[in-house]
Amino acid sequence: MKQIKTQWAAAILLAVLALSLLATGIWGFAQRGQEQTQAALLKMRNYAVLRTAAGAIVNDLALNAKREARAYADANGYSRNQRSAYADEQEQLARKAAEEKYFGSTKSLDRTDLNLSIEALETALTGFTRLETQEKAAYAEVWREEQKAKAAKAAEQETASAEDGALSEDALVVSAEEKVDYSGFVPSAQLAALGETLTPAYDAMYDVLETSLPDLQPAMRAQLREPLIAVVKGGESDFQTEYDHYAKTGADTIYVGGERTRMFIARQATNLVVLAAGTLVIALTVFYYKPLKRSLGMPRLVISFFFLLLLVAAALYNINVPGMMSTVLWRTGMYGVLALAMLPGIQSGISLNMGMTVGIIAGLISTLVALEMNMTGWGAFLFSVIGGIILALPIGILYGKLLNRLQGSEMTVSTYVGFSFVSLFCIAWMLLPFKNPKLTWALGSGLRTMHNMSDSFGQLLDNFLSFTVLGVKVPTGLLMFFLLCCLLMWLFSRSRSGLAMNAAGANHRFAEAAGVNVNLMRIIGTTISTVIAAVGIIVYSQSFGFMQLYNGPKQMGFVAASAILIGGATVTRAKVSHVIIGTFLFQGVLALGIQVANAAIAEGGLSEVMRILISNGIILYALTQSGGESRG
Amino acid sequence: MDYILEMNNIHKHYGESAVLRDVTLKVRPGEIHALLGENGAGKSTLMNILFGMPVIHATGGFKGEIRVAGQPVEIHSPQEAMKQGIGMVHQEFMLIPGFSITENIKLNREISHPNLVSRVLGHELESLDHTAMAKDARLSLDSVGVSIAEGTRVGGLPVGYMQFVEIAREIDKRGVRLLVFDEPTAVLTESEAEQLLKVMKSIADSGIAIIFITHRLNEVMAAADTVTVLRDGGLVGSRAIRETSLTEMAGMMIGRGDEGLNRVAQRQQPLSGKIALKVRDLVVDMPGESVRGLDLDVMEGEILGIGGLAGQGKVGLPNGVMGLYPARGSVTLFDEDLPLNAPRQALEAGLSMVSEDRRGVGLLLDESIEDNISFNAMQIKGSFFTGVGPLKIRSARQVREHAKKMIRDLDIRCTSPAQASGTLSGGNQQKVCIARALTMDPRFLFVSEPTRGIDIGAKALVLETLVKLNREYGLTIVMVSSELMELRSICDRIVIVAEGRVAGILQPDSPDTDFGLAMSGISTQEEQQR
Repeated sequence: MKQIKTQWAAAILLAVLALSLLATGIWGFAQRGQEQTQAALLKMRNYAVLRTAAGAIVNDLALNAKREARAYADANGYSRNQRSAYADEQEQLARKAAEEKYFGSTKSLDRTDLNLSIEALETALTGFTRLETQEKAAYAEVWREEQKAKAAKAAEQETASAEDGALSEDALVVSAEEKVDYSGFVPSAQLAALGETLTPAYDAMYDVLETSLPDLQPAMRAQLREPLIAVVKGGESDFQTEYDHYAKTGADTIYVGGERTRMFIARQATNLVVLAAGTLVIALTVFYYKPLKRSLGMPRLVISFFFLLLLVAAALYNINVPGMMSTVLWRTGMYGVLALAMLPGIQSGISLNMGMTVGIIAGLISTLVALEMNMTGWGAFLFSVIGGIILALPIGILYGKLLNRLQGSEMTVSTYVGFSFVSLFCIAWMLLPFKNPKLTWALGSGLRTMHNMSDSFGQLLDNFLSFTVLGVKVPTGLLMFFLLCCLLMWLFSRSRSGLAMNAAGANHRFAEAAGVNVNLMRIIGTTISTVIAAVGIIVYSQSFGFMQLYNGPKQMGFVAASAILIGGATVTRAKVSHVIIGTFLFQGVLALGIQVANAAIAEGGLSEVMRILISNGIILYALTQSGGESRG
Repeated sequence: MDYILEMNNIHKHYGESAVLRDVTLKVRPGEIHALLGENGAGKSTLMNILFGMPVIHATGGFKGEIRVAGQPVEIHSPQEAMKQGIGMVHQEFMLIPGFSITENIKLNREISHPNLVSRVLGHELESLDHTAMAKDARLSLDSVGVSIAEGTRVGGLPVGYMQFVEIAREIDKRGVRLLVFDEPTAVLTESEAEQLLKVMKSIADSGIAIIFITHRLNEVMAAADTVTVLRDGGLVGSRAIRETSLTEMAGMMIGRGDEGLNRVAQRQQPLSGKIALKVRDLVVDMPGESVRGLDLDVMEGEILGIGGLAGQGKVGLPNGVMGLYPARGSVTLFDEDLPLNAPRQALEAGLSMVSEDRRGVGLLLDESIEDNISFNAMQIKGSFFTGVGPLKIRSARQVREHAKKMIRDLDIRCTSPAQASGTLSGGNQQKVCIARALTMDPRFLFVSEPTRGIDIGAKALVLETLVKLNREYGLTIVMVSSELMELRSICDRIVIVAEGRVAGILQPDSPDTDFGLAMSGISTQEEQQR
């Protein structure tokens, strides 16, 4: 009873907090349109311009002071160390004095002539900026394509070791968002000409500045041109960017008290609304904690929560959220079928089938055959899928028989079988008689590590009936194929054999007592798991756009296991819904997590570390939770 | 000092149920005091209290007084019991196989002398005095009459010897005044058992008192001086052995007479007299409950009870016939040979079983009630399926309807047919198991320990259900139970199994003495010959 009261109180408190955040945010938005705010923003712009100009004077004075100090020191025979210390000291003093003199004054901010001249420059800038943005965007596009091609090529030509051949799709996702290097950007003649037309407007503004800051040296006119234009250019975009742009020069400090808070709220309006939405979700979760926990289970609740948290963080970091959602959907479909391969394994009692790589290899072989014969489009896809299934059947049966002989430690056995099968095929890929030059190494024989699928059936499912809604690209064909596989699996689990298989996995003594051949059920479960894995890797490869041989499939089992465990399955009990929920949450947390982490900590290579941490951490967490949780 | 140990007016509750009610046990120095009782009579609980086992304190302690040598004591842990000079010879050996006999006997009580290192780093590192330890061990071994060398590794010893090593270890403890033997003869051969009794007597002669827990009446007669009998957590009485007899002890052990017996109404029509199930020379390899050559005939339409003490093989019979444990022998069901070790064939032949291991074998705890009820019928008979294209998939509607009917018929208390069976109470779980067996429309039903772990009200309901099935549908039922009262209340005949064989076939109204004797493996005829 008491607990319920606390829960209510917490929920209501959070809701109130959310509502007040929302109200503040809306108020902030309203403020943006107010004349008063616009005037304040103009004032900030003036300050930024003046401050930038004054900065040149301050630097100038400081340098002068340093020069004089050095001369003085030389004249008085100071030692080397003394000389440099004295010079630095004098420079600091001079800088301080100059800053006090030039930065402190805000009285000239309201000058109409300054306003007008800046306005004139801004108007003149509009055309220039638009063109420049266009040209830069075009350049960035080309640059990104080049980078992607470079990365793929590097992986393809990786001859020295197959170990590093595995190219993570996370790397591709991140590189697409990476900062573009503009050092190679050359403005077009038209742009350069437009730049020239700016001069009169700039000169006019500079003249006004000179009256305001009489200490400006003539040489500074040219020197200040670029920085001043950069400051004024900020006026093109929305309130938030404009504010941030001016604030960089310290323009947010010109206000005090209420005025400052008002400007701050106006600036943070969007973030406040996002935070309000987040808090509201927390409040609802607290309010519906019990039913949510019962229907989802604690781990799902925690992870869904984390997912929402990442969404809020992504919005706060100005990451393109619809783009991220597209990535999440894409990855859900890409990994979904592979995660589904875990389901029959768990249901039949062999626990997590880490050895699903044997099925993956069957799928890879059939795809290679299709590529060898230069097949393309739907024909190639269907051929690969059917061929993969036919190949996977006998392999799965043999593998199931092996697992039956080693009952009690299936997870260990299957992990090792998976690894050794991958290693065995590292040799086989070199020896198999594939002849198509598109598949083999340029020199010598053997298959290459990476195979580009774009000219066979890459992205075939992804693009089938795909559409974009609210900026989110929905890979319809891919998701439909995944759901079709889930439906088939669901139908099977309702059949006589499916029910028997489930019982054999849940309680083999119960199943035996009901006359079920438990060993046979385990073989059936393993075989289905292997077959789905074969189909899964084909779907994965076409969606990823590359097929990876050698050590590429090694970690697939872990990814699939993480997904199904996160979805609420335990190592002894799983349902189709666990696969769907789990793949979505796992890939969602992974994709968003990497992006947010990259935005928060700008360090290269972090994404890969994050990916490993998250996926392995989740397996560990889910395993600790596999005690009871799922009952009911 | 008349008594070395007095346990006066001991009461103990586990939750709601009283497991000991006003039990008093008094042991004189140097006597062998037998503690006799059926399974669940309270012997183990009494000994747990004596040794201050954590389980006692974790469940709220006990009421009553313990005196050792006349002094009231409070024992909170086995270590404290040891300090009082009370030792225990365990039923399961607590020996380290890789150690020698000496090392096992002296474990944690090693004789040691200081050395250079131990002077610096403490007495944990003192040197062992192997000679002195071996001498001590030899002495203890001699006193239990074992001639084997004290340096031998325990690992390869025959089971009987391990028991003696165990005893030697207890004797070796200095100041031992009272030893508890918990069913020491259960794992021994006959000659080993005889030797053990001799050893016990010689230990007792040296002044150490012995509490001898057993259910073998013969051994009590042969070795003990005094006997205390417990039944259903209460004290039945104490007797000096020379003033009592086998029959009296058997009566005391079982002895409810007709008190509390709720015999069901006699059947209207006599039985057809046909044999439904014929079992010949059945051997079942079920760990802890093995059957060793059992012959049995079950009449069509009767309720046959199978009783006996735990571990004697009564549970092995249904499990063997149903093919759940490896079995040999011949079984005929309604004049047709039944293959053994084949659960599916047994089910198809019309046999069904409600397992004694409800949570282990009987139910899929995570699955719903309806799935549990329908599972066997779906697997064996293909019921409750509906066609979807070429596939046949589970018909949710049929399963639900059938489950609802069963829930109504058997009065299963649940929130809905979709409730997970693991969340039900024991009695309702048992009804789900019965419902599953009935869904198979069986001709013959095994019910193994149907009332284990369920409360009294639910027990009566389960028994009523069985009688109803028998009377209304003529279903032949074999019911295995440790509760003799249950068997006597609903069965037509009662078979007592001891040591894997039939020790006697009795009528529900046979005297208590006959049941007691049969349970301890003395067949009635044997007794009459004496």
